[in-house]
Amino acid sequence: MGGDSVRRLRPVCYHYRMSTYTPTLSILSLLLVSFLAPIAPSGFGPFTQPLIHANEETADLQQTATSGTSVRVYSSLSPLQINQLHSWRLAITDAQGNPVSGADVSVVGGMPEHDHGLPTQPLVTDSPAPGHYTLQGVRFHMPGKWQMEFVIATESGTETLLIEFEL
Amino acid sequence: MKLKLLVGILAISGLAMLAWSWRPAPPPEVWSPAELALIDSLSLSNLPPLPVDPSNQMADSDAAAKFGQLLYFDTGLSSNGAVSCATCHQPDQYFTDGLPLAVGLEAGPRHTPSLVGLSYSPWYYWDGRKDSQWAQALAPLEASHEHNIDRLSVLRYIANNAELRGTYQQLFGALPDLPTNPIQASPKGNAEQQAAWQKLPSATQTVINSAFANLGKSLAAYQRKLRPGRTRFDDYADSLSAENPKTASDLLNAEEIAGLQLFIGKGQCVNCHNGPLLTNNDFHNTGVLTTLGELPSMGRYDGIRAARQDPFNCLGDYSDASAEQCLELRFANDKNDLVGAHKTPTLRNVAATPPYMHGGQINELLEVVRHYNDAPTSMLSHNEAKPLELREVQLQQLTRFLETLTAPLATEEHWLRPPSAQ
Repeated sequence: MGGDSVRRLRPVCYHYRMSTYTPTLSILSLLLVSFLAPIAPSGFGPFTQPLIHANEETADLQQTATSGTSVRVYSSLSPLQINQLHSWRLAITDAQGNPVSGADVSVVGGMPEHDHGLPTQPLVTDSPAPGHYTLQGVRFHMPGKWQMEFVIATESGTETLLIEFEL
Repeated sequence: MKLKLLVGILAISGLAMLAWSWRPAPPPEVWSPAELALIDSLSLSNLPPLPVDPSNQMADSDAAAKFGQLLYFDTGLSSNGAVSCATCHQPDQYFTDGLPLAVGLEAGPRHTPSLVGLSYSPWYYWDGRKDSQWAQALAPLEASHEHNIDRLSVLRYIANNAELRGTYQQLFGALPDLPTNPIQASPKGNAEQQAAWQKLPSATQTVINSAFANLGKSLAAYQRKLRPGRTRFDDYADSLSAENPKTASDLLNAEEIAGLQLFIGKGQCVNCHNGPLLTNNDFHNTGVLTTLGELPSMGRYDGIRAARQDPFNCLGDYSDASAEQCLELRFANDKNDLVGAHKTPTLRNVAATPPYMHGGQINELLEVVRHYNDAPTSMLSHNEAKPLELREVQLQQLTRFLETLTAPLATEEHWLRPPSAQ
């Protein structure tokens, strides 16, 4: 009777794990971890800490798909904390860096290690600027590894982007 | 000879196993930065101010809290004149009752949760079927196993009592004119009361509901005064800092400190029991056995659906909030992973508030810890918790730590007794 969200997240998560088995990537990620571990805010582990505050435009989280589509997350609660309802502004760009406007954006999140989804159902309620989307109703209720999967549907197709981070 | 050898080997391995499971795990000598951050996040010193409740404009009114206090202790608000809120939520028991299942007019299906610090929660009841403290406060009045009184009778009781009527009118203006016939009416009562309610003109229903909601808002204002006090753990947490990450202390002993390390580490308690109130105020399925003779509860899966249907919810006619302010209700999750999920309770004063779980299924704190160590398969849906594989001595250490979380309330004494006794 697992949640829909968990079922949908699994394939992506699996793919992520598989890719880390290739030796080059393993060594690279180990190097990355050893550099970044000392600055991890609460030290829960090596998972995607580099995503938090990792880019020069001070996005709270960001991810780029192999296609080049990119999502940057600007949180109204920064740094991200547990147990507080807040909203995100998503800035979505294509491979050329142009804003992706008029997309149907939805999000599914959860904790892969605990078999549950988000405590809330965040929804995109607004698009304040081209390629920007307001995601309301975001709350995390546990420390640990979280995943947020963005489903971005445009006329040219549907793309899925997964962001992992530690709280 | 062979037999002696066998017995010898068995005895030695038995003893070794016993020694292993009971050998105390030593506390750490120094907390890591990550552990320090987690411990700090649990300290009462980091409790933020009470969140505003936009659905209740009286939430932070002292006058409303005083009126709420009158109502809270008044046994006149029950069908037999013997049950008040304080019957189950007893001030001298951290606003619980020490019973497995609450007993108002009769035994109910759920264990009485503590009210201390509860006002921080966006959701009420074990299944979260109410989205505000004032909406919650109305339900026990009309529940047949609790106060068993209908809303029309409640308002008539207020109208007929000079002190209550006067105080109500100072806060909310005149009480509405109440119909003299029927005597009892409520959409939640018995068949007779429901039929009488249906016959009332809708305008009359609305003014009755509105006045009834005002009583809930006053009861909520009172309950917002109930705040946890500083414990030995909080003093310990505050004594640590980046400059002083040493664990040695005369505030907690070695066993308690080892328990704290398990609490924030291998025991995984802090996954849900987090923040200064030691709860995320959310809903989890942890494979707790159902109460005897009860079918497994759907928990939050049903609770969120009930909250959406509740006429007293944040989006309803009796709420003081605008729709934009009802974020919790509008963006609540209602998916399958909430089947069998119940609310995480605060662990503040947990050692003083047995028994435990939503149905009072577990009597001893150590047994609760053991339950999470075993993480049994859930009867309904899945258990989010996984077996912890802690040794016996670690279960004891965790329990010792939980016992450090008890302290007298931070609430002023005059709120903790009936107003007439002052």
